[in-house]
Amino acid sequence: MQKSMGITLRTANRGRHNRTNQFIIMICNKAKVLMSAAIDGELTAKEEEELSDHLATCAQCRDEFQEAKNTKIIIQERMVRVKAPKNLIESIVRMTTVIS
Amino acid sequence: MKEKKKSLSAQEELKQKEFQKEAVAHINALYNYALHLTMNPDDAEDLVQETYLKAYKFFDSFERGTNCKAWLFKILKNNYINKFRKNAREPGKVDYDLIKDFYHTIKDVQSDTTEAESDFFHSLLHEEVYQALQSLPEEFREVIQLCDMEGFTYEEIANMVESPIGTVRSRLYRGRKLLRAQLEDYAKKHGYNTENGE
Ligand SMILES: [Zn+2]
Repeated sequence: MQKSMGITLRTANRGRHNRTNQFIIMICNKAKVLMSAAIDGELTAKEEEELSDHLATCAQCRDEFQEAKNTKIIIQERMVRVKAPKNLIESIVRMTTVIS
Repeated sequence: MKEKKKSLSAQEELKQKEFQKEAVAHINALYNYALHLTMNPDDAEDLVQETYLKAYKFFDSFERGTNCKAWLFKILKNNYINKFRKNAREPGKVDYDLIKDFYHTIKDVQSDTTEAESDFFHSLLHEEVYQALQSLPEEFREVIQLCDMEGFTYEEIANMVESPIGTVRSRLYRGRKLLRAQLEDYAKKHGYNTENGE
């Protein structure tokens, strides 16, 4: 009787532990999806709260968030941007003048 | 007779003024978008020209107060699909030589800012970031460009790529994940440690 009680208890504990791990993994994955939109300022107030709650407790996701921000900055700063050729601008200005 | 003509041209003149103020202001952004779509300066010029021709013709249907840049991008994208999609490169198939050539033809215009920073993000070159972005499947590359380079909202992007906002959101998430993996590869090649001491 006592023995079987012990087994039941251990099994129950293990069950809870697995559930907790899965719960944390699920939260981290969700947080990662939210981060991407958070950087763009596209979260709802509720999502924003969810994310900041998670970041307050998860150092790994805080690092990840910083890295995600860096990636956006890199694209903004390092992407090649050129000016439209002068003749193109002129021809478009001319075009809108000629049509009438 | 003369009177009538005069009033019509005055109205036209007003339209012109507004168009040049509202629409022509975005020509650099449109040209860059066209370049990245076509990878060819001549095609890009044609595309921008046709876009403005169409935009001017339909300028009355532009909803005043909405984002004119987004409206123009949408017209350009539609034009591009109609004109070039048939012989566009297959998704996932990237011509690196073409990208390299293309990059070198346009990079002279870019003034290079050299920073003394030593972390791996700052070590990346324009060319590497450009190649990393170009190596992504088009559906990911496009939303990253529209969001990060052009600063469009998710709603505007969703309208341009004709997908729900949720799709835009998840494409951005997945695209950025791929992009970061790509950038980390470059960083490793340069001998930077990307593990962040973890
Ligand atoms: Zn986490």
